[in-house]
Amino acid sequence: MTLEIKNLTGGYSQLPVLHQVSFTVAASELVGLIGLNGAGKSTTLNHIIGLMRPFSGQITLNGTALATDPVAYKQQIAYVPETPILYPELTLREHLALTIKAYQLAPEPAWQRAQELLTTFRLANKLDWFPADFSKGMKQKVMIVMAFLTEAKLFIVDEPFYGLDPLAVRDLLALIEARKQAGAAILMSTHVLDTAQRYCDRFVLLTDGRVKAQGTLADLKAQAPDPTASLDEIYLAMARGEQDA
Amino acid sequence: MRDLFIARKQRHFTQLLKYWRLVFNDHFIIALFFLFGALAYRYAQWLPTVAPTAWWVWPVVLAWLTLVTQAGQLATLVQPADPVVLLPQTSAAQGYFRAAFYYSAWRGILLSEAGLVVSLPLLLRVKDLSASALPWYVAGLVGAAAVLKWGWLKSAYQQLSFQRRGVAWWQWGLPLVGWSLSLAWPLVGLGFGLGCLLFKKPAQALDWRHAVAFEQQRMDRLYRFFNLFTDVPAVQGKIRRRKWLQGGVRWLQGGPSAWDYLYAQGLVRNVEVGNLVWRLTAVAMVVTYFVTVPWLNTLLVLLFIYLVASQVIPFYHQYDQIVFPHLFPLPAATQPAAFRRLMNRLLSVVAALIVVASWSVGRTSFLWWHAGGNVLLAGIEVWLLNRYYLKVRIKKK
Repeated sequence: MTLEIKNLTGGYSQLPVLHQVSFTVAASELVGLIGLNGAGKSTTLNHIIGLMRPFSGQITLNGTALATDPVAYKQQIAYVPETPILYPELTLREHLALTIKAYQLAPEPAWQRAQELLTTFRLANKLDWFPADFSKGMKQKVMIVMAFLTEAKLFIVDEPFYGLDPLAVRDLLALIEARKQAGAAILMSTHVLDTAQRYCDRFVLLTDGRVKAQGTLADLKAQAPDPTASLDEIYLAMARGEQDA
Repeated sequence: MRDLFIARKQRHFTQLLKYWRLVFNDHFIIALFFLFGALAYRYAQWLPTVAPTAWWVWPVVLAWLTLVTQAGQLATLVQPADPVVLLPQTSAAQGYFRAAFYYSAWRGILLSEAGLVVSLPLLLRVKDLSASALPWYVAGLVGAAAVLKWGWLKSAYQQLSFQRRGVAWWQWGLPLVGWSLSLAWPLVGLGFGLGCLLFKKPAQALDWRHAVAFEQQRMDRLYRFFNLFTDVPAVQGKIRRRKWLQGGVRWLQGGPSAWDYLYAQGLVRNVEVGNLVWRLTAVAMVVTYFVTVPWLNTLLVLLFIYLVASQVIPFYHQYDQIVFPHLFPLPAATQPAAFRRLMNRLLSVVAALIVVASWSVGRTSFLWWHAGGNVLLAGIEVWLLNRYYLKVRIKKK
């Protein structure tokens, strides 16, 4: 088991946003974290990457907890945030150099991997650009390159499709698939449910900070009133039911 | 639309007032009082030494007045959301911009007149005028100052339209020609200015994006000024590549960690912090060079080193809002250690430069005891600042 979240309750200051959230992400698995705005997706991810501290519950990654061994824990994670924020003073090349230093990667293979990623995302000729020169989509691509440059065991990808052109979306999905095949675990939060349905192995459906359902599409369908429903329809029915309740 | 400008102007005033209160604190007012007093006194002392035949006064006054006309920008207070929200109102926006123009005009004209008042005593030293001609001459210049500034602001308004080619030249050309004529024959200069106002074609289709960028640049300059006195959240440091300083960046990296790399690049490329350090160091060098009373000189050396350190320390938190440092698999102690190494190297260079400048105390014969004392005390101060003060300041946040 790679990532294990057990009874996570957490939020901002004293106000809990997440209530008893539990799920796992195994190696070679792509799990979709699905929810409406404010359902608690980003809050869950922020707890996993250590930007927020849980009120209660545990998060472990291959048996390591953030609180007990932060370096070993973080060494295994790579993150693509929803809003791309880069260092204004560093060029693209220097962002990659910083990542290589921070994750203590072997420089030669890392730069080789970087070159491949840069070519895939059509950034290879922009190595000396500063973030101010990049569009939002390009910044997003820089963050993807930085994350997939590492040898992380868990990739956390928050709403990756906004701002990306269709070609980049396709390339990102291919990259995720390749890393999955290589044994990495991937947790992806998204609103784009038809894409999630096609690519994710399992789903965790969040509403109001609670896990409403989880499992494969077949599992979710079995729980839904209409067994032929798509992920979109299942989630909408669930969210509507929550609103009516 | 006019009401929208008035509402924004009031909000703008409230915001400025908040900053001006911080700028004009008691100490600064006293310092300004002395500074202006000393300058006015020196000016008054110097004026009688200017010969009535001094030809250079004319180009100097002309350059001064042309420069002063550039001060006092067109303040439109447009906001980044305006191109979207107000786009359907573009034709009605004329009322908004007219209000903005008048608001900018009285401020700009006041500045121009103040510049004229400052240069008048010098000008009248070399201008041979009878007592009866003097009031007419001065009145003509006062009128010219108002008309030329008005014309300058009209061009500034034109800058916001799509038809702005050549306007920048005009903004220098108009005051230059206008003032050249006015200084010799004020009424001719006044006539020239009025003629330009009548014949210069008015601004046409508004380029919203340019107008927003223009206003942001203006506010940026203003905030940058306030930022010298207090923290202004709107100021985002500009970045310069500074390839020629990459050797310095490598040297500033005291260790191999990612934080050493980030801080060294950031400090050198961030215009806000980097320039502040070098400006302060340059001022410190000039001041300690000229202050030759030994005890005061040493005190100033120590004070300036402290000032530089206290200005750089907030840079420790520069990257708090970026997710990566929190994510990097680095021990928490790496960050303060890297920053301490950076401060150590930076302050050592700054201290060395200031101390060398301070050796002017023994201009005629080198004072070993003073020079050595400054080296020793500066070294101890750098060590203490890094060892204790830095720790306290970092913890405070």
